[in-house]
Amino acid sequence: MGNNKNISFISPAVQKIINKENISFDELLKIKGSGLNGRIRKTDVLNYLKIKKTTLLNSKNNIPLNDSTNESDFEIVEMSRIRKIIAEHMVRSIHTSAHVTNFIETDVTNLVNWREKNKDEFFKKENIKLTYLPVIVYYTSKTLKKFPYLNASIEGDKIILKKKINIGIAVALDNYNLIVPVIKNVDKLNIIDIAKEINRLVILARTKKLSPDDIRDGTFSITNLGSFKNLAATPIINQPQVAVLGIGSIEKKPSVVETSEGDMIAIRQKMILSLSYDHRIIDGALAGEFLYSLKTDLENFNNINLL
Amino acid sequence: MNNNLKKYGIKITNKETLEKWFRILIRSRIIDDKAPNYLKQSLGWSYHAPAAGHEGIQLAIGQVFDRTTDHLFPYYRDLVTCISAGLTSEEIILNGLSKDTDVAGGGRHMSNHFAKPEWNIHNVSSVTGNHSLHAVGVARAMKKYNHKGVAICSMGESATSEGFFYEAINGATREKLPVIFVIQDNGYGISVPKREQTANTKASENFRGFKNLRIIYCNGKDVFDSMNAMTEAKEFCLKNSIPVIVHANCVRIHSHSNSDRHELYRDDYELNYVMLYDPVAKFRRMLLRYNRFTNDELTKIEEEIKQEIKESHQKAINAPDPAPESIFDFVIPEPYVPQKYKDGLHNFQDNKKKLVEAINETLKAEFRRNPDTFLWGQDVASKEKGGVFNVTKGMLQEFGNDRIFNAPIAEDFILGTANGFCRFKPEIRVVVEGAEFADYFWPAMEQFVEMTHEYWRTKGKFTPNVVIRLASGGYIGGGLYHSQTIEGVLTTFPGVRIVYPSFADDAAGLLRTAIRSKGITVFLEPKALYYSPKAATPVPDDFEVPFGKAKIHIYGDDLTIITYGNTTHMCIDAANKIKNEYNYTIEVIDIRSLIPLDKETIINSVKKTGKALIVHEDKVFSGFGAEITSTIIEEAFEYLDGPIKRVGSTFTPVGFNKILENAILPNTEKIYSAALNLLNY
Repeated sequence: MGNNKNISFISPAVQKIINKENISFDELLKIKGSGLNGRIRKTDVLNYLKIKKTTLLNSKNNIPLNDSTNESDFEIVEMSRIRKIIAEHMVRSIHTSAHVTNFIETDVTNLVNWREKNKDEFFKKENIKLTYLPVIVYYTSKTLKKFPYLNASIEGDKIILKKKINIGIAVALDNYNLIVPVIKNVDKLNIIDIAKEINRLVILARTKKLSPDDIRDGTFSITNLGSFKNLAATPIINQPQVAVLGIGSIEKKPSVVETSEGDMIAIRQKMILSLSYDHRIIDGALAGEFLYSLKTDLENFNNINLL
Repeated sequence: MNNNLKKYGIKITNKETLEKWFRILIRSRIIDDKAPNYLKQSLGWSYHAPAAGHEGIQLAIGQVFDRTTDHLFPYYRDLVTCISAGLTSEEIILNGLSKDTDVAGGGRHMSNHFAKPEWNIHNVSSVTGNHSLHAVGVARAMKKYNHKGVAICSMGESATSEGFFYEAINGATREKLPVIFVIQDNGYGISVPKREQTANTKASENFRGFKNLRIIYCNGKDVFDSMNAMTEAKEFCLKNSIPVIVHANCVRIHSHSNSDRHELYRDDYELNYVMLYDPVAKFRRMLLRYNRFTNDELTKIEEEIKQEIKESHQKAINAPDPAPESIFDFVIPEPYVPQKYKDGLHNFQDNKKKLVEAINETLKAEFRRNPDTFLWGQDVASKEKGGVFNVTKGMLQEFGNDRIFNAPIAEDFILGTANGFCRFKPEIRVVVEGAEFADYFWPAMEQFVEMTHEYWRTKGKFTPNVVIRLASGGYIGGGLYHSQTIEGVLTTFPGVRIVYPSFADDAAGLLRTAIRSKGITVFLEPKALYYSPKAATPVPDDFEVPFGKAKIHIYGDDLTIITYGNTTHMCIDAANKIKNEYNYTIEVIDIRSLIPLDKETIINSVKKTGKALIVHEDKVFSGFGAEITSTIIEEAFEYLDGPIKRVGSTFTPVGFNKILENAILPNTEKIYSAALNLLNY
């Protein structure tokens, strides 16, 4: 805290308002106390709420309305219901989990070659565009099987290890909103099944036809950063899960390759995996091991007969 | 007494009367002997003061009492008196067992305090001799209304040691009132022998010097002598309107009560001879010796009475007990409810009237309206002087000395006779200046406490309808005895309403409501404001303020100040000053009534502001503000945004030197800084 605030005593009146208005501890720290020794008075909280409400209603990009003198300088957009929910979920997650993100670079040249070889035939046969995602989902589920602590949730001081592996896929919608439909029991599916399921869910998501069942019971999430050539990110965990995997874009890069004739520079397809995890139950070693295991599986991928 | 004048004797009294008396005596004796068994069987009657040894005089009191014209105030040993006056054995046992159907008051008062208010057999205190003032009061009413009747009060000889008994004799003799004081002299006040009570062997001799008093001695153990004495007393009293003391020699055969063991202080000789004086045995012997009855006749009567009591016992045992939820019934009678000014507010615009004018004019208006109104107190009717502050000015001239009269400097007497006076008829309303200053009300506390009990104790059968006006508070350089505020003490007694207006209009409105209401209202007048322009307001002629309705003088959001009386004006000044200097808005609530208290207005305001400052002139420590504080904590704790603070007097007497007075009493400056501290908390 450090600043001159006395929150060691909260009066009954202030507490009542805190409860009613759902004011977080963090917010409370932001309120300037005008009472004795900086005590937060009832009027301080009421003023804070007044400003907060005005700001939410009348501002864009969190710039308070009264910072600008000219109303033509901004446009007011009311948050959609879904946006408000996303906002609330994101803030809640940040306040709940101890977020840490690890990165690992993966050589996916084999995967790229495999896709190039199979995509036309696959489209002809299944009428679905073949992407890398089903393969990544497939191996993620295998890796989660090996590391059950990443397929878990926390309830109080208890860790709940989930027996089912249900992976949520973050899908961007047209209006910059986000939804995370869930592929259920991924560990029981092959890559083709996964591809079909992803395709089904994405179509439903974009046509706003997802059922409530399609978005619940996720145990782990994957978000794809690659569509716009983004390399890496620090994704926010989808509560009550404990980890989320970000997939970066696949880029050709000069790379040192070990061959029988010694080290050589080669052009390889590289991708960065970003894993955000809840440090409350997952330490760096476990997360690192998880990422390394997944990287190894993806680099060794060459089974074209999967199709 | 001349023997020729004697009306009753074993030879001359007719047989029918003798049989009636014998039945009364046997009925009383069986119950008197049976009463301790109820306690032994844990059925009740835990207080029993045996009447044995007093039967002659007690029979006589009950026989001369006429319920259609007289008022009887028996004491806790008057079992035979009450049976002789007409109470049935069942009614007596219902009282002993404290049953809901007990005619004295449904088991609320202690056992052995027999009464039947609808027959004017009054339910009296356990304070010995306390009811002598009530007898004087009702006798005063009889005289004022030209009613032919007597007030009889009865007590042991030790009760004459009480100061208020002297006040009663003083008042009854000065006013020449038809009161018979019956002194039942059994030689003991519990264990204290009469020689340790007073110098005269017969306590009644102490009153020889009073003018207008007749003292009659009789043998209280003898039915005929007692009958003759009581008959003579009543005839004399009615004829001359002069009080009489009937001093009856009795013996106490048993202990004082069942909590006393007389063998600890009486020797065997004494215990034996008191048995020999047994009045019932003597009467029975005489009936036989003078051949008025045969033994068979008496035995037959005794058997009949035994059977009757057996049946009464069965009925009483099976009678319902009082219900626990009934305790809040009859604490105080329903007040008069204003119809026009429902919240006690008005928008009347006219010339302002001072507080003293508002009270004076309201008194006069109400006395014009109700001819059954009376006012008494010290200094209230001395030609042009109408009370120490001239509040009752002109009332003597307008309503006459019969309705407006001075009282001796005896505060207990002023109040006690008001209580008695109201028993004459329920339309009567008495206004008393309870004391010259509130500070001098303390001697009246004995009767005040009594008064607060009446309505509850009689289960609504009787209420004194009295307004007690008291000039209250300091700020006049009055020192220890002209500066006191006493409401903190008075509010501890259930059974009264207590109001303390700060402005002329509220004073008029509350006084009107008080005089029109049944029950007791303590009307505290902030004497420093009688002539103050600050307290002056326009007053509608018919203004009324209901009890328990606070008035919000200033509306505000940042702090609630709850106050009454003198400090209301200081709180308003402090709030205005703070508004000007800091732009904080303070809600100032004048509660006007302490009992009943307008909790709703207080709680709603504190819920809004989150902060409460309670201000009164009375001492902070144990002051009424503590009660308000506790109410707020209980009902609005979650709304508090700061500690509840109080401003009032220091826990000291009020000093006479102005420097001391200033240091002790609250003022605007003290309120201002307390309010500011709380606002800045």
